[in-house]
Amino acid sequence: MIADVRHHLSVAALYGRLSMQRALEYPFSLLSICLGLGFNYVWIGVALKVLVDRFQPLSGWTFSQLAFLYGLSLMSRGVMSILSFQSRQIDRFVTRGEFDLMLLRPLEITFHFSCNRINVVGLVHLGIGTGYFLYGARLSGFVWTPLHVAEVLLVIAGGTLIYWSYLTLISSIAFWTMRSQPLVDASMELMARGTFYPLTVYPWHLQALLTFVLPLGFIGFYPACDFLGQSANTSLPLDVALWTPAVGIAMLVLALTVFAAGLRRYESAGS
Amino acid sequence: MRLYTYLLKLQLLNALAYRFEYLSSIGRNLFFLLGSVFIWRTAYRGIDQVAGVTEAQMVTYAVVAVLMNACFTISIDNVLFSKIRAGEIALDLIRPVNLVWYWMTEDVGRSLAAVTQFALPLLAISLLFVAPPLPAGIEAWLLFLPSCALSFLLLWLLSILVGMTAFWVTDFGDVSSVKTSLVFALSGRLVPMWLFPDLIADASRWLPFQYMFQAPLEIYIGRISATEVVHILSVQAIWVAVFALLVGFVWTRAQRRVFVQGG
Repeated sequence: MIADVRHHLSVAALYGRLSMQRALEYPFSLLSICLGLGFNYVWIGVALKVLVDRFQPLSGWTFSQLAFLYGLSLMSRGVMSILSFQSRQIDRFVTRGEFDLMLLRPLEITFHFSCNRINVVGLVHLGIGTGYFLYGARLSGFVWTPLHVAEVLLVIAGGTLIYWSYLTLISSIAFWTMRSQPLVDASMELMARGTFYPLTVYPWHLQALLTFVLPLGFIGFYPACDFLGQSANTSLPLDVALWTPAVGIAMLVLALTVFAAGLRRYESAGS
Repeated sequence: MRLYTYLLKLQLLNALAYRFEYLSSIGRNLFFLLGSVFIWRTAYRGIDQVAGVTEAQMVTYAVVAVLMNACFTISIDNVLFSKIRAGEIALDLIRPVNLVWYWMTEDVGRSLAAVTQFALPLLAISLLFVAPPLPAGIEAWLLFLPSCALSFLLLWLLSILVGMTAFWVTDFGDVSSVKTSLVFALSGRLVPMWLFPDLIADASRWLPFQYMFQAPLEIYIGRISATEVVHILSVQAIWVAVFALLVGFVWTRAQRRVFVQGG
């Protein structure tokens, strides 16, 4: 068992090194993607600041609280993006028959699929997210106790699982339809809308959708409410730091089941 | 001219062929639209107007911005990148047509198709959540149209300029993502530039970006006077002329840079 885990970890490390080398082969490309993405995220923060300064706190959230929420969501997204960017690209793997090789290798297929590329660009999400989070935490009175640090780490881990599962579930549709990329792109837009801003800006039915059907609210909004003492319109029993990983694990089980069912339908790409 | 009309028709038919992409694109734009509308409504709660703009005007601004973006289906930068990297540009160069016009016709065709294919359905769905995003008046509507056409041209010319960098640096890769981010931020598509601090708002007037979205949208919601409209249209036309000259200059040199790998 331990030898097996060690073997898988060494393979993941090898893939990580290869991904880094591959990304650095095209430095201009990497730089332009990072610049574009980085500028986008910084600008959204600037726009939020302008909105709060020129109008009023957004649904009762000050800029520092919004930065806290935005940062918390971006950090989970960053970790997911670094470790498993390809979860959103299953249709490419299906139409090009790229699962063939993975199914032949003596490695667990989900692990192999998730780790075969380490996405360096994810560091931009993570870096900027950490910046926003630390800024927001400092100005909105977040107390750095060991318990809070552990809770934040749990929330990031749970948020990462929710992101991964959400994208894998939608992307897995390609096993049945051959195409899912446009749907994934649309889901990414919903993901941004459901995780970067307080859910209370939306009407109750959208809040319910983003809580019970597509539980994106657990990535940033509910934990941020709990940490900052903001009202969430929905009261949850128990600590929300436990809810996020719990929702993440439930989503993971569902995503793995759908992914496995999809793989059974996989027919490779013929010519 | 018959050739370009044929191309236009081809693009219109092409755009209607991909239903899955179509529904997903409607979904993506709808999420963006609703997100923007609800955020503006929340921001305006209990406030009559900010910088002379009411909540109703701002919601109209946000809705029309999404509709414009859905119509501006410009992909020349990505098309050029892939053509140059794959060597397919050689095939285009032997066609007996003016290539810049050829590519522009393709994007105009796609964008015209998008008016009925994306903008109208999006508008219809958005009416479930917002009041009809009407222009400030008939004059505003009539002036919005040429301004919108100039915005399209400006965005297209910027995109082809970005795409042509691939003639010199083939591994420039996703440089269009930098362009997309700059346009997204500085064009006023997300948040109008007049809300930003004076330093940023003033600086943005000297850049071409706000003439790609904000200018026609300001005209549409009636935020500016008739004399200001003339000024804005003139500035848009000047930017189009500057970019057209730049494109002509770069394109002449780019054709001498073509090399195709393989046999």
